[in-house]
Amino acid sequence: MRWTLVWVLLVGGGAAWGQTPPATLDARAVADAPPPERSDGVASEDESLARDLLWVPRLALYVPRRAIELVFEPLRAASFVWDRFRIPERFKEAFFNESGTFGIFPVAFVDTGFGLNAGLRLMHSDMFGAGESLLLRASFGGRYQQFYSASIDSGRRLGNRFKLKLRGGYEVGPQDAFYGIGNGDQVSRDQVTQRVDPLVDDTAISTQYRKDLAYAKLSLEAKLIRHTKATVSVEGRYQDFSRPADEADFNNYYLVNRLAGIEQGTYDVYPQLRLTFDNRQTGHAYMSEAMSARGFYLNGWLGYAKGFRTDPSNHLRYAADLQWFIDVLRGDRVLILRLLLDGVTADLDKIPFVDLPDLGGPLLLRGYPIDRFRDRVATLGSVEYQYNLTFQTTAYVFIDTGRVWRSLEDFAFERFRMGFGGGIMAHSRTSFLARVQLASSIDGGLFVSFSLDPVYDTRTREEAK
Amino acid sequence: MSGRALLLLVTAATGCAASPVGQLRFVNRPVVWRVNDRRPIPRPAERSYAQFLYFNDAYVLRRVPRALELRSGRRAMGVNAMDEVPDSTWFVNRIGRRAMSVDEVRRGPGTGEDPARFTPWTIKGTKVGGASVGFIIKDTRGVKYLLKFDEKSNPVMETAADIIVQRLLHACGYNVPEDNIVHFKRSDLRVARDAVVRDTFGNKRPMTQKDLEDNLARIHIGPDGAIRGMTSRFLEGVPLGGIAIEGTRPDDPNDRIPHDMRRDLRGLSAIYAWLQQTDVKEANTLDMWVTDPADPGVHYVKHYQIDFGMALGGTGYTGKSRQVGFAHATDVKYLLLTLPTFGLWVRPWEDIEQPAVPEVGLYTAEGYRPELYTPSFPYYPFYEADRFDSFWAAKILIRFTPEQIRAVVDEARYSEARSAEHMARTLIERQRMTARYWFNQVNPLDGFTLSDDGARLCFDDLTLRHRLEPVRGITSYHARAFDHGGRPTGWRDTALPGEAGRACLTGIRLPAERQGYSIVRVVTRRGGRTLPPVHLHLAREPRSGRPRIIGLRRY
Repeated sequence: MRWTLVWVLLVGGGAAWGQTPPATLDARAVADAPPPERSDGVASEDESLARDLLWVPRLALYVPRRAIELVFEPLRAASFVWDRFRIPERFKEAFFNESGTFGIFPVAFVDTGFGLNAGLRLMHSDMFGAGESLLLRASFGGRYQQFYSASIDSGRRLGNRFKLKLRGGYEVGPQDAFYGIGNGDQVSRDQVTQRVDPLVDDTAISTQYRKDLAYAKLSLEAKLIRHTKATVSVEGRYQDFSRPADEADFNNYYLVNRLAGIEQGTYDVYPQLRLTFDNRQTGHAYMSEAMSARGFYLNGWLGYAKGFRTDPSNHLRYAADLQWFIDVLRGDRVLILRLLLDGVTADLDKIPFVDLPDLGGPLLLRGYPIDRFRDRVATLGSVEYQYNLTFQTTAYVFIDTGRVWRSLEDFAFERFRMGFGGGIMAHSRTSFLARVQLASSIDGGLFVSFSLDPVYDTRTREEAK
Repeated sequence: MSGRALLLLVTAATGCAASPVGQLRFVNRPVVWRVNDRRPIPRPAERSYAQFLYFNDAYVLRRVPRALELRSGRRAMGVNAMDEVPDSTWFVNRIGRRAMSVDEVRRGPGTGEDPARFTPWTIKGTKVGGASVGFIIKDTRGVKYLLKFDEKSNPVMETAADIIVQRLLHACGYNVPEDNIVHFKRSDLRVARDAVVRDTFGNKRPMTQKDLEDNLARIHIGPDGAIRGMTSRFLEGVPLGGIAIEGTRPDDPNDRIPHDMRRDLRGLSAIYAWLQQTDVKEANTLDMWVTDPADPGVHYVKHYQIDFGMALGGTGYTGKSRQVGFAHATDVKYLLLTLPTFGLWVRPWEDIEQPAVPEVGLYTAEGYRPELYTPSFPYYPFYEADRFDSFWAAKILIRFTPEQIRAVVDEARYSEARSAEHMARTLIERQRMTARYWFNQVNPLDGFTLSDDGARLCFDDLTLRHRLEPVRGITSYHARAFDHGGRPTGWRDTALPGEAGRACLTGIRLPAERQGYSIVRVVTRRGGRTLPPVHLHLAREPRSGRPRIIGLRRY
């Protein structure tokens, strides 16, 4: 009865639209109403062959679907545990102080081709109330059998214009790469019949060496005029190469005693002046601040290495890195042109091979292995095109070309190496997060790398040398 | 096998009956405008919300198996024979079915009383969850509220958005909390002796004056000491957690329609597109086990939409992201579509710019494309939403008058008139854009009435009625009738729209058999375009013999 009345009121007469229904709905008012699934009044539904035959692909996909669900179940369980036990909050509570300025926490990263490095990191981001930071780290495994580092900086203690930083550390790298010296083509280790003299023969063989490095570096960064800063630093280092690498030790393939400092190690002091001009800007307000769209990044440095004891070092190091960011379209399609020159003035037998400019790896001359080329001078040209994918991701494709030279006078447009590839970068609103890169070269090979360092980041250049 | 036999076999096999009205038939009964999902149930368990798991499920871990289930684009459930949503614990027809006064829309679910009249407020504790400042307070009447604030760097925007969306959603028919903008002074706040602060682990400690001052230091306080906040009255009942984005609540026997199949949830996508509400997730819904207003012995679950502060462009503004409203926060689809284009494809959000007015988010009519709306996180009811769901929602939202919208914007109490003006103008423009788009995806005929003798069927063309497009001169309606067996009855008619977009077909004769069951197929032609048909199912009421509409299906 009640429904008939409602029907007449609300629909039957048409003019009922606009009438006010009862103010509240309660259990008594709907007692005679049907349950929700029987409200549509459908006696028979339209037929659809496609819908009726869906059981066929559903049946075919049943097993894969169940298999995927099974595979996903541990991930779901882990996600639940992550939430249920508030792992991030527990982590912060366990390893950081309440204000988040001090913490001791585990670190782990996978270095491409080397495996897992894990350890502990201590940080204090505001030691004396002016943003002075302290970082201590110890980790083991992967590229570094042992890795210890410490740094401290002045924060805002010297004002906004100056920053003083002291950094030191000790590293043991048992599997660093050595491909000889020069721009030579690579041969397999099986083809090597006698050891190669790296000072006169540029044959490249994939070998490894072990390096123990201890260093201390003091630097003062000063903001000069707009967009320009200068960094003065002095670094003291000790490097030892006397112990064999884990495998394919370079001593078996090269006459390494021809290399400076190999037997007694190297001891040097390296003061350096670096000038940086950086007026890069983002393309628009909706792009991550980590992604530049226009402007220049010009970076040049000059240093002098002086060896002690058996280290023959007594040379200058010079470099210029020019990067031009061109907004191609709408502030997030960006062309980046880059020229890099890096050189030393020493003769090959007067400089530890590890101090020679090098190319290869995920940053410089991509598409080649790390440290694939080294010599007295390295030149690099790069064209990279970046385009925004989503709010948090940017894709890029690149062509890198370059080579190393015995001398700058040898420069000619011949036998250049060329790498190419692309990748995807992830970034937050304010900072770069990570990138995945796929690269190859005209000499073959395929290199997949995951990195937490951007290719075009100033800090990376700063720390790289 | 003869050709005719083969044709019959193919026809039978494919289900493509010769009749253009298909096999759909309705029961000859009154249209259901209320369902009974208020049967008494014992208190269900609280549904725990694990955010990391929720997002992993929504993005991948449930989404992939779900895709392999090959859901077939099924029409929404929870509708009546007229393809409308009956009143339930989820949705109550308001502006979609009846006239609402400007004041009623402005007032929302509340009584219209300003909670700031009942100060001082006693703080019972701090809000748990979310990054913003909030207190649990009691006013002098003992009414309990959550008192929320805008970010210090961003005054007005979030609370204003919440109020506007909350009022509009309520008028649409959804259950929402009673929220109000309040202005008060520091002296209106008192910390209760038993007030507590809860940390993220649920640990409690006594709340101190310092806690209050520390929190107030994080919000904007005007030069005259005035503090703007938003009160959200505690919902009555026992909170049971959020609404799952698929399936039903297993311990609620009244919850019988899978949530991703509910018309009221699926249709919400068109409304949220209008309002640029992208913060759509389980955590922004809430089930309450409530006591029936007429019988204290009866309890059932009522379903709420909550927390709209990031709507109206708030997410895009605070996150500085133009893709909000177009793509998920992590959107593999756009990533994969963009990757091979090398940036040559200009995505639909790239021309959108922040309006040059304060206090409003990245909310504009420029660049708005209703069909591209995507919430920030996967929300399965929206994945299932089809043009019929969106049409249903568009019919509701277009019924707001400019006066009603301006009244709602007034409730947000923007401090600058140009902000309010921008917000009202943009809401109206996007309202019309939303309706225009979805009215073009179906045959937008509605408001069907049948004369007492069953010979005259009248209806509104919603595109014309709301003057969304100047197409009256090129619009015509063409109808044919079929009997219960799907055979043509021979009746045909053509009609033209009147001034207000209403048209009538005449001369319909219901057949004698099967209680006069007839199917009137109406096609609309606009210019050179033929819109998909609407089928009206008519029959005589068995006892009185009076003709009536018993069902409707849009194609």
